[in-house]
Amino acid sequence: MKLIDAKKGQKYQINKINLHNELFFRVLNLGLFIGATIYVVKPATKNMPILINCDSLNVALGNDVSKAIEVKAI
Amino acid sequence: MKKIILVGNPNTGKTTLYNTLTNSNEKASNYGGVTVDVKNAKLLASKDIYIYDIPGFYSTSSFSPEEKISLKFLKENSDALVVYLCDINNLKRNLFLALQLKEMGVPFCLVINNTGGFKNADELCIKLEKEIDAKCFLIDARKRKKCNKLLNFLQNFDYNTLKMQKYNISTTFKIEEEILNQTEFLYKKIEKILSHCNYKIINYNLNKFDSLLFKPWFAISSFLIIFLTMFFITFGYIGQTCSNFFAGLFSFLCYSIFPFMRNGNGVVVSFFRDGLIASVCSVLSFLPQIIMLHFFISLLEDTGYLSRVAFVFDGFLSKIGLSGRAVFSLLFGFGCTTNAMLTTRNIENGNIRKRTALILPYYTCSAKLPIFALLCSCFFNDNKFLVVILLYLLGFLVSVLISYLTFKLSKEKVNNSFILEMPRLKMPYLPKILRDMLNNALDFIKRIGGVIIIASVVIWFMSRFSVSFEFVEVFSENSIAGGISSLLKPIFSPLGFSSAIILAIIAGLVAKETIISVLMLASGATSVAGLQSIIIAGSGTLNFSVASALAFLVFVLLYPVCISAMAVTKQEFGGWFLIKSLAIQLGVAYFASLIVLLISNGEFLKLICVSLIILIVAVVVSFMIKYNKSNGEKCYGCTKQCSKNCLQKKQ
Repeated sequence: MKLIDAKKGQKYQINKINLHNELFFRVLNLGLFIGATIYVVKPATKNMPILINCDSLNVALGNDVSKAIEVKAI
Repeated sequence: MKKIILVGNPNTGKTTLYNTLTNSNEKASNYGGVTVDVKNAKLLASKDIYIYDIPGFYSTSSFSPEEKISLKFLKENSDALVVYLCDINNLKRNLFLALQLKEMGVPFCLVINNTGGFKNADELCIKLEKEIDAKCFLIDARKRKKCNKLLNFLQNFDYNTLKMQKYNISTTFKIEEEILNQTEFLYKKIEKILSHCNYKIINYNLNKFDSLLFKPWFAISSFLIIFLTMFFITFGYIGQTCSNFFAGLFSFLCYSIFPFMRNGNGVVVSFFRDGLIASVCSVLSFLPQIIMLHFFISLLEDTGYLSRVAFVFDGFLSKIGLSGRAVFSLLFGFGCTTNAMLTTRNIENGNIRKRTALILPYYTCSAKLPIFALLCSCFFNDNKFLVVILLYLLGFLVSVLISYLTFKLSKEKVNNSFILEMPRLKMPYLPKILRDMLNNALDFIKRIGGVIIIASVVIWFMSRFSVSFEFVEVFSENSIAGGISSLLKPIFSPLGFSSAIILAIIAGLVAKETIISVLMLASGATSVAGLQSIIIAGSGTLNFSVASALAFLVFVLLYPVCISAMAVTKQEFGGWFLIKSLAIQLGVAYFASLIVLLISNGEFLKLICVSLIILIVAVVVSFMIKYNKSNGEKCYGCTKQCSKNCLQKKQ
């Protein structure tokens, strides 16, 4: 499933990152690589980014970014 | 010269540590991207050891403009000792770059920040020292605590052991798979190191108040309440009383020391009284309001609130072609446009970055504040607060409109790539806020001591001497400045501006603070209270009416900010962008103040004609932009048109 559809409070593992080059490196630099575990603090809405926690860091990802990351619930 | 470079991920406290180790006062905040250039200062109690503070970056595969600056600097200064800064709450992520540096052979010592309240920090430090094989220190940079051990180490380190070497840092992109494998490998290694050190990652869950700040209804209403309160205190009774007190105090002090100035005549008396004392004191009297504004901005920054504002406004900003990241630059714009222009470097998307720079001048910087305070207290004393709020709102609406129009005309597809580290919500730390506030006040005083005094003297000379260098007792059209203003009068006469007001507008291009100085010089007033009486009377060289005062306020709000902001715009975005930006600002300022004047005077027929002209100009310009638009793409991190081979190009 896409990260943009992720539910609040659920833990996920990143499966695939379909971002173009520069954004791919940007998410990677924040520890969001394939296999990383994340926790949804606040789900995405139409006008708001998603807020996820990855290894104690809260990261906000805009809708186009979270649409391009695929995750699986764990 | 011995060199130390502060390296680390963004938002780990590098600038705060730099300020502590060098006793400097550089701007530091609790969100990434505040440092956008390399800064250096001498290490405390040392002769030739210099510390360099560079923008934070996450890995050697970094790409934004300020990250590239850091990597290049590190590469060019391989004979320096690196002080690598980590946040104790974020060790897993922060150690990633440390391991990359280690692989490259960079000599570094590890500094763990924010250790206050963390149990077993000493044990962690000892174990990390062994695991990473680098000297390790614990500090609390925000509270300037526990830094002495590190300072002693840096003062006594044998820098002669460091030699120039060639780091293998690639500033271009490698193959994604290669990077991904390296990332996985390094993170596994970090997990192993941290488990040996008994370090446990504590996930930060939002508390109830923090959760509320992410709810749109609460976030937006609290934002409005906070900003209205801020402006109410700054421009309302409290701010005005403090300002009046300061004006009286400066005037009393000056004329007590130089009593002959009060009623004297002649060139020397005029130079000191009108050219220096009156100009400088009038600008200084607004110091309390500027201090108050910066106190509130520092308070909001220190708590982590601004990052929440960026999160909430991202959706709205993406609709007008900006991103949540632009919030930091836009809010900085309320302080100083020049600094705000530099902070746009943390916006990766070149188009969003340019658009942010284009609209920044419409955000009222603190230099415009004295002009608003002066004219509003003359004409709208009962509704002063409301008029100031409306002016701020007008600036905001114009910026939204310009950003939206340029975004729609450019037909960009990708506009919202918002990625932001969310700092923890903290209680404000008063000493830091007071330090920031003091630094901003000193900056303001320094500006008065430099450019404003020079501008005041030049303007005094131009307004008190004729073309044949004869002394003129009062400002008139016979003076040099009066002659220049007369030349521009046909352009400004539809706005109802007199020669003195035109001169103030021209001087305002150097620095907005000089506008008050020029009004003082031109009116012959020797105190702010005297200037207010002259403005209210609407007589002499300053023939302000309520309508022309409003038009003047709108013009000052929207026309180009100052020469330093222009220089930074040229440096960051090029000369052509600056010319376009200035043309838009001048056009918008002129027509907006004309509309305000016509509405205030009830001249609706003229208003319709002006609106039609604006509409025709807008349609012609939009067609020109549409058909002249280049087909080339611009990339993330690139501010100029990219070549086909640009490695940052979208795939």
